[in-house]
Amino acid sequence: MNKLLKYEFRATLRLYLPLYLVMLGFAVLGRFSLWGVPWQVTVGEDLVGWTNLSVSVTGEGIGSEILAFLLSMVLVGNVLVLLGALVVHFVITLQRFWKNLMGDEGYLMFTLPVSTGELLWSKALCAFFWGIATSLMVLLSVLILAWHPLLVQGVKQELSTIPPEDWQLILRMLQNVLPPVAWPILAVEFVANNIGSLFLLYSAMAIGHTVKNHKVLASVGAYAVLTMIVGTVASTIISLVLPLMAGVPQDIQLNSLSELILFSYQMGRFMTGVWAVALVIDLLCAVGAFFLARYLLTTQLNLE
Amino acid sequence: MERSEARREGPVLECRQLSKIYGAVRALDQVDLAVQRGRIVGLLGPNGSGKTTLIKTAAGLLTPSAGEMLVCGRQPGAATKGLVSYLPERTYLSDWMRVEDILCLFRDFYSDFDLQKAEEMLFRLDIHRMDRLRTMSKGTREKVQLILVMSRRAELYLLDEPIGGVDPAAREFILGTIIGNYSEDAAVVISTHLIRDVEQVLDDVIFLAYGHVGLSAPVEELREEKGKSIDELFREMYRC
Amino acid sequence: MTWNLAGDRPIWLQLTEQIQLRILTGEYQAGERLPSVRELAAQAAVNPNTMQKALTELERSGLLYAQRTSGRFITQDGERIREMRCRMAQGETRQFLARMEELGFSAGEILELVRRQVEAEEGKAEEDSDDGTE
Repeated sequence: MNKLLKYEFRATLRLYLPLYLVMLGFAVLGRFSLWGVPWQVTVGEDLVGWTNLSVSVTGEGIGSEILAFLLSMVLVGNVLVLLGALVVHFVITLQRFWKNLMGDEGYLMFTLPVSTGELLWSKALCAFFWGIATSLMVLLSVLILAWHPLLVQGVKQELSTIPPEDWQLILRMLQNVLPPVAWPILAVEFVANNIGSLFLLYSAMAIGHTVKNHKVLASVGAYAVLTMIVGTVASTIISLVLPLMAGVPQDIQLNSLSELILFSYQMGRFMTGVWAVALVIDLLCAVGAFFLARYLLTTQLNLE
Repeated sequence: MERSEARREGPVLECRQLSKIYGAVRALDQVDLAVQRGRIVGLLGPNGSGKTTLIKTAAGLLTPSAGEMLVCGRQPGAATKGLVSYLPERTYLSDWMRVEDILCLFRDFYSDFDLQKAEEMLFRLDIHRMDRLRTMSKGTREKVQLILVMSRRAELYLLDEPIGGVDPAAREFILGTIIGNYSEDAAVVISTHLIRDVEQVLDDVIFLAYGHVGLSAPVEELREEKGKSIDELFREMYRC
Repeated sequence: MTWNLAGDRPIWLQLTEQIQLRILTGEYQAGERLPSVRELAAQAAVNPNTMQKALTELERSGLLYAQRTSGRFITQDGERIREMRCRMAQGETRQFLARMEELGFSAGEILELVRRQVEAEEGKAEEDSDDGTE
């Protein structure tokens, strides 16, 4: 298993490294074209009383308009690059399975002395890791783009206007909405959801591969059917357990502070129930999809 | 422990009433056969006679529809894959890999892989560790793959059409590599429709036709009994 | 020297002949160690068991001898090799004569033909070497 992970990681690193370099390159380029020109960040107040950050180009004349247009293009370009990175991640995930297991390389992979389950896990864990890494890279790119002393100063200034008592209140409400009980549930749910959807994708591709012609189309169709099944299972479970769950807070008057805190507490209880149900559904789907994929790749496998 | 035990017991490869059905097509139909240790066996038959299906089933790439396939007495699975060295018709090595990457992969996964042997054979072909698969011709890649497969000290070698469509020099290299390297108490199964080219290396032949075993016997015996070369026999058998 | 195997005769017999020829022509020297069965089989691209049979046959005829630990060797009996070479030459000559007689040549004619052919080839060889020196 470790060896499989090692080779899967090595094979994918070669694809992700250049992707991340491109992302960082564009972010840095974007940052300098955004902030390298005479910008001005003004801090004003809007109608509701919240401090408002607005950015405008100083200077006058046609030149500045063209500049503004170019800069907006830079921004749009960067957004496209970030979206593109997510798409590339998705495509790599599909390709690694399709080419490495369902294609000619499958002749090697499926004759290694490892179980089909191990093959599936190595693919899924690696894709999961790169999913997180890619998301972090998107976040990092946005931070790089936005990083400017004036902006940071503005945010700091904004935060400093909140009095310490309010901070305490915010923290307390956060804790109510997301009690410690919910943390592990959320964490496991996150993993189960991600890995589960990977297994679902793998199952769909394995089904598609058993079809003689139009394998890709069949895979897409299989995926649609599988998600429908998952949806049906999920809604059935929800309708079954809904009566048992802590009710949605109703008739709440948010007039006083104590009522607000009560509301956050009830909301937290309700949401924890929701997370727990989601966890059960996701775990079921993940386990189901895993066994389906393993069954298909063991008994229905027919490499060309 | 397990290996030495497996070594002593019965046939390396055994099929009992083995059938494989794809939709309406019976690729293998109640096949019974056994391959013993130390034998080089030719799996002969025209295209579509079930040779590849049989080999893929033994390699663990296909699951039987009915009957049993046993490799060293066990059903194909992760354990038998460690005992079987399989050369498919396809080249399965990724373009981006270097020779070194593949050597490491084989060393890591197959405990019976003899790295030094593989390196020596590659060196003789003037193939180096840092060469990329992308830069190699199809013929060279096939040779690399054969060297990898034959550098294992496996119990069973499954070679699917190893000499399909190669020139005489390459054929000599391939057959020489097979004979010079298989481990002595292992069995070698070579599938081919080019009987004439492999006849001289075989101990036994198994003729497959339409998913059935038509004939299975030692080569010498057949030649003496029928007074014909295996190639002639083959032609007679599949004339119509 | 490459291994030429035809499909119409037993392979082990052809292997025996070819190894014998190699010994008689001196490609394998008297007393030399022969490659292992596996190696020879790989070179000739034949089944090791077949090669084994051919070697056993040669052992029986006395051209090879086996040493339990270090492998197979060519006989050190140079006299025997020479003798076999002569015998082989005699055999070839006999065959040649038989075919010539079939074609209707008398003994005298055959001798004359051979003499002339040898002279012609010697002449050609001399010409070649003359060309080389000029």
